[in-house]
Amino acid sequence: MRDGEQRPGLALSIEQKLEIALIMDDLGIFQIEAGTPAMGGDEMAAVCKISKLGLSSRISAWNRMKREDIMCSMDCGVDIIHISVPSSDLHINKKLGKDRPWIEGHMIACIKFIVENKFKASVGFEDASRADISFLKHLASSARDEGAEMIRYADTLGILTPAKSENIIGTLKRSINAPLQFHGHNDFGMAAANSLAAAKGGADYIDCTFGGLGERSGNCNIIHFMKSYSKVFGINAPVEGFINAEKKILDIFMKPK
Amino acid sequence: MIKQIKTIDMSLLYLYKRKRQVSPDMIKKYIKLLNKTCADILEINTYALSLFDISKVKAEFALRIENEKDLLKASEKNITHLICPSGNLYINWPLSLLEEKKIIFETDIKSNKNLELFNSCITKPSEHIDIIRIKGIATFSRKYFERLLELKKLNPRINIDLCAGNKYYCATALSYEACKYGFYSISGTFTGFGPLGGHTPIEELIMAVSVIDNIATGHDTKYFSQLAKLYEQVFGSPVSSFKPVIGNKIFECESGIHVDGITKDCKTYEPYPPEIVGLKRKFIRGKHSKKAVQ
Repeated sequence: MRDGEQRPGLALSIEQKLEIALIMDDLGIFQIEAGTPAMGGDEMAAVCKISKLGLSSRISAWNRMKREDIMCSMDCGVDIIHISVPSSDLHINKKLGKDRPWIEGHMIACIKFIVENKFKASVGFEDASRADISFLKHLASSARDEGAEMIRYADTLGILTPAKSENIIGTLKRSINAPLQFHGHNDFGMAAANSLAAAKGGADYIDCTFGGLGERSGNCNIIHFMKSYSKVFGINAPVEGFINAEKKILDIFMKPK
Repeated sequence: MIKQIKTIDMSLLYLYKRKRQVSPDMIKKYIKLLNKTCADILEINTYALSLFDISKVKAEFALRIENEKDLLKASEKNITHLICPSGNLYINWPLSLLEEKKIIFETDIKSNKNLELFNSCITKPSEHIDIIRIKGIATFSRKYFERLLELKKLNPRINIDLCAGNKYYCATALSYEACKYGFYSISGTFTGFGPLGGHTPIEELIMAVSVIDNIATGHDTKYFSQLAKLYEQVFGSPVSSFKPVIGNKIFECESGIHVDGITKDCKTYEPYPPEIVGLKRKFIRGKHSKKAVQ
């Protein structure tokens, strides 16, 4: 819901987000990343309302490594607070104008703040596919030590390939001993194949969007992933239910506000 | 490491499915641009051949021989390859054609996971077969590729082409890995269209190889957006605005964080500059842009 809505021109109302959350919960989606409360206004109100629905799906909120952003998420009462941690030197140096120690220090401070306030923390390594793997392992280890429950590996620009995805997720999984999430993008049309390979490599969770929505060419399309996963792992996944849900969700997107 | 990438585009096979009449000039223009941007060889059938004058087009073609009548069309100079579909026999073809043209023999191994068919093709090949095209693979398996290449060693003269199916949305990835494994060529279609989930979108493969592996493929990708518009005109089917590589909105950006990052250094949130595929960057003001887009 959060990353899918980043497709330019999409702007969901509170009601639309609530409707979509209910559909996702019905499907048994493990976690719904409901939005970015720090944006304030309707976005924050929507995340607050979704959190109060009492859904079986866990509700998470996306945050920059900023205390004031995290406080907005806390005010929404979400189940899990996700912080995005730029991890490639390009993002750290060029986007933030910082260095690796600054990133690690801020990440640790944010996790501490979340945990001290009795919330669950999750950490997402942005642009991880261009990051130094030893730095990622180090960050992941620090994040776990501070109490982060889950680590997300983001292929922000969709530049991974299946063999690399399986290999790198396997390497990280063996080294960090934490639930690992894979977040793929579709810039070269390989998001589903990479997500599948990440699952083979040991990823515990795969980030997907309905309709493959998201920035540029989007994220891993949930239907595509379900179909390929069912085939490769020989699982009889309820693909039809997801196809029907996708139709409903895309209809909601198109509804006039 | 990828050393080369050779592509066979099969989109002309589906000209019979186009939703409108198009002039021979437009088809020639489409072929020219396809050849320039992503297709080293263009696969055709006799129906496609009937729509334009092949002798006036400077490109390499592979003619699909569905029946003996098709052989009558095979002597054209720029038909450099002949394709023998699964189940057909090439042994009755005229010797002159077998010697003059490269022969691509198709094997559909989706129902033959033990690779018995491929094994028999590679170990007892006709001296005339140059390339074996493998069809029917739709998901990536390292072991499977390794086994294929082991078998290929039995007859190094023969090259392997992969024609992956996209039923499970893995065709580009499969084709990319095939390039890594040293397959000779990849068959697919521009945009990936085709029956049963379609084929490898060859524009995605070309960009993946050139961006991820930094390989100069020799294709002029800046005409991709122009080719996408022409494709829409020829086939009467729209290309999704968010289709990887060729969607006209893939370089639009609204999110404040992304706009800020791109403004500082476009490599932060763009896998390659938009100009490389003939597109332009556009910042959109909206719910997610806040102050980033003025």
